[in-house]
Amino acid sequence: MDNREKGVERKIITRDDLSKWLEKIKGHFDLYAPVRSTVVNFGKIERVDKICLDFMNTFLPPKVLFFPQTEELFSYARDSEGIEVKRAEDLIKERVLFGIRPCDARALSILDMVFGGEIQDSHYIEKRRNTVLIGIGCTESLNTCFCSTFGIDPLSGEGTDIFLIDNGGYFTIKEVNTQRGRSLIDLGNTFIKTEKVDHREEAGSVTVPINIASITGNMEKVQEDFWNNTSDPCLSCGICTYVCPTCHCFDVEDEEKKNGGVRFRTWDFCMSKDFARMASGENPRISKGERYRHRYFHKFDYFPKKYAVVGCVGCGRCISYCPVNMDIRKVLERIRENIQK
Amino acid sequence: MIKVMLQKKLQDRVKELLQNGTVSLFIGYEQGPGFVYVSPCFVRDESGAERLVLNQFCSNNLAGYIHEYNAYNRRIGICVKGCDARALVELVKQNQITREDLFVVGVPCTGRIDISKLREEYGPKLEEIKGISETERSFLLETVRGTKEIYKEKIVFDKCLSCTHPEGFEYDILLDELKIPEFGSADPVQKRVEEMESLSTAEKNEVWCSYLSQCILCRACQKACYACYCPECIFDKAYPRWFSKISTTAQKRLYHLIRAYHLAGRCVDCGECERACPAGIPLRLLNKKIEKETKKLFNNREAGINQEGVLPLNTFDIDDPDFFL
Amino acid sequence: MNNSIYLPHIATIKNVVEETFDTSTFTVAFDNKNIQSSFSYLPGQFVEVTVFGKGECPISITSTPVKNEYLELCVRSSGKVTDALHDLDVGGKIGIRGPYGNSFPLEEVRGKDIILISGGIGLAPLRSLLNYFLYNEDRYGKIELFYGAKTSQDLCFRREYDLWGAHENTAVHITVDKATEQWNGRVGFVTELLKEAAPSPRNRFAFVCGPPIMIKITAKILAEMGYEDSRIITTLERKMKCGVGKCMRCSIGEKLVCQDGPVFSLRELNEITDEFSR
Repeated sequence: MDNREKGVERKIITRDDLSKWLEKIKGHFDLYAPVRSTVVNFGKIERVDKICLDFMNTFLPPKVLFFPQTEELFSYARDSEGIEVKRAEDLIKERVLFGIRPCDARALSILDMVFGGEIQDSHYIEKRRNTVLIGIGCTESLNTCFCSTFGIDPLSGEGTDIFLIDNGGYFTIKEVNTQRGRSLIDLGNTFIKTEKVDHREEAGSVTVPINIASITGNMEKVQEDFWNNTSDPCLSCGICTYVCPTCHCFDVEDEEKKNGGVRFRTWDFCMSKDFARMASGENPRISKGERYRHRYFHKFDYFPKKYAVVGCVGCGRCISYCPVNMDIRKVLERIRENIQK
Repeated sequence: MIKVMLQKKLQDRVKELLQNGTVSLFIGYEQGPGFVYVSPCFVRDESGAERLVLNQFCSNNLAGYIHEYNAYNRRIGICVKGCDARALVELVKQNQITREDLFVVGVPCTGRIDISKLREEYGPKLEEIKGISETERSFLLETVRGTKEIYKEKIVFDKCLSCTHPEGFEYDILLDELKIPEFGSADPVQKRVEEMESLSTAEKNEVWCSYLSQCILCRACQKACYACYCPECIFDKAYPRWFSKISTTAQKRLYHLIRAYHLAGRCVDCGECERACPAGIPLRLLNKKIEKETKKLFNNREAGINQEGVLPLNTFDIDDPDFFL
Repeated sequence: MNNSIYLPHIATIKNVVEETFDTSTFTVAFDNKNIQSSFSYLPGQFVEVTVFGKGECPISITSTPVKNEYLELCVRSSGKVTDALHDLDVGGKIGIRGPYGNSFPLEEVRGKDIILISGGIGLAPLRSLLNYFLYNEDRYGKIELFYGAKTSQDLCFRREYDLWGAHENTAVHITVDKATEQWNGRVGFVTELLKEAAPSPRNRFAFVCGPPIMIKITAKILAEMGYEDSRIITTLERKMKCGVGKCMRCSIGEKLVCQDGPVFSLRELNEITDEFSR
């Protein structure tokens, strides 16, 4: 299906000029973009030619830039008077994050609800405030993508400041959504042209449509042994949690150094056996089935109950990286079947 | 065609085993989200046996599940290829399960396909592959765009290129005659170990730190490993907290080094750690080096090959050079 | 940019009372007098206590919000942080964040009669509640405390039993599971005491706090006596880390103990879609 629009006027930027624009941006901001090593990850760009645009999605989701895997919360120092506590300074220069996909942009607005709200997590919020998002739409999809299940449009820049579509030789600037986005466009005005182009806009498609609405709120109907059986192959590792753009569980630990120390937080995964274990030894989720159930309930039941939005964006990373090929879409389908019985 | 017969044979056998109560649980493989993506399959009653598959994509070492399931299941049935059987030999030797509590179905294997290598040879759209057959030297992939032939050597796991089976291991059922596959090239890992050995310490550190900077301490390598069965891993122990949970490259290096040392004399080179790693870290390289050194120090013993013999790090001999430990 | 919900305020230990061999009550005050005088809390809430270098743990506040010159925290030595806390003496410095969590439903029980059933260190949060009731006696009806521990050596707050019992409308029933030489009082499980007294559910609320098994059995007995599950109130314990609803460690069903709890009615607990409806 080719829904090319012929001869439509659009703001565009050629691939070469994009590098120049990003170079200029780098002069004013810290620039983060996808970089390829053994995997593709968002990294701080020293050289614009290192940016990888030949990617579907990054290994670690953008949450890593706002909620780093390890983050100092504060340091404390002991002296003769007592103890003094000092909040960690987040060295936040203004940043531009280039290359975020629509699913991940939605995930950030979901995390905004978790770290914001009545009690504001300033460590996350300040980073969000200081970061401009330039998104790239998805004209192709992976076999594991299912963002449309959650009402995410792969060609919409919802949640981004600027939104581009890759048309091969050039990028279309499809959306400029904020003042900050407009300032960046101004910065690139020598590179950005308005031209009549044959505009291609084809979204990659969802392979397995899932009826999420029938699942949320009905999940208690699923039998107990469903969870035990479905979770059998699960290794209880942390991959799905760590690569998930909406997962946000963390651990908090102190580390003593000379005459003081730090308190830091670090990613954790609820799939691990001792995640909820108490000092008394009691463990409310001691079996794998209970922990697996908790993960699904958190995303598809508790999250909607609390925030009116499902805690999944269909990025498919958990499917791609699971060492035993567990598929969240299959599980959701089986949940739906189980509910209907 | 042979593969389809073996798959049916396995399904029938498993059905029998469950029907007559020989096993209460059988661990095999089933299809996952696509023909090339296989998941471990847990069958507890006869009707489940139909889910079992057996093909060139069945690469998981299922022995890793035994420690989790042997408390509540007698006997456990399991299908293993040669490399996995080495893990079973070790589990019995390390007193994690008795041979009688296992019902072992031997699966003939002429190499399993490494998905990341397949992606490089075939391209990213692996969902196009719907079937597979093989000749002596090649795999014939049946895809939506026709048949594609790829030399086996190009897409089997490195470890398959130098396949080793345990000696004299008695399978309860052998689905077909076991053959050790022969390939033109050898497993490149030994050469890579030697290349690393030729580097200076600073250079080695740089190489490993660059690999490990991608590590996210997801612990998949640990969870996939048959030998990591400690009920509470020392990295998780909260009180006393032996290891910081901080996620720095130094800490990741420490984690991998300690895990590799804990595996000395026990690693059977099934490669699950490297396969499970989402960040592409060459963990076999590290384990192979430890294996090399262990062999030198402990009389050439290789894990999982012989059913006799002692565990190097668990046994004290009066002639040991160290006067303690 | 000095704000962070994770930053504790420094407090000093002013006094330590050894309740049992592993439990002590710490009287603490914030070093910053303004923070101390403006620190307002209600019975049922908890604070996150930092022992610098060891970590943080949630401790329910056992003092009652009448005097705001200090806080009292009753702590059992059971892990890394609590063990380290017991190593500190008067003058020792700790960190405090809070108050967090919800409080006991004080408005709902106005004019009602109250029973408090507790075991072991479970008396700590109920003490805050009991002292609050006694300080505002005119607002509440009859108060009855049922409290038990393994032996007399494990009873907490012994110095207060007579003070409580001295109030006209307050009855105090103490028991121990196992008799020892030092004990001349009642022997038996606290649940037996409750069954004997059989306080009528009419116009009455029940507050239960103790080891999980004790809460279970007590809840059953109360149900048999006719108490509605909305009138049986308990406090829950879960592993906690951030204390402010971000890290998800204390989740029970769709609720977080640090935000929606630790005080829950039995009705709320039954409604939670928890792990296999435990």
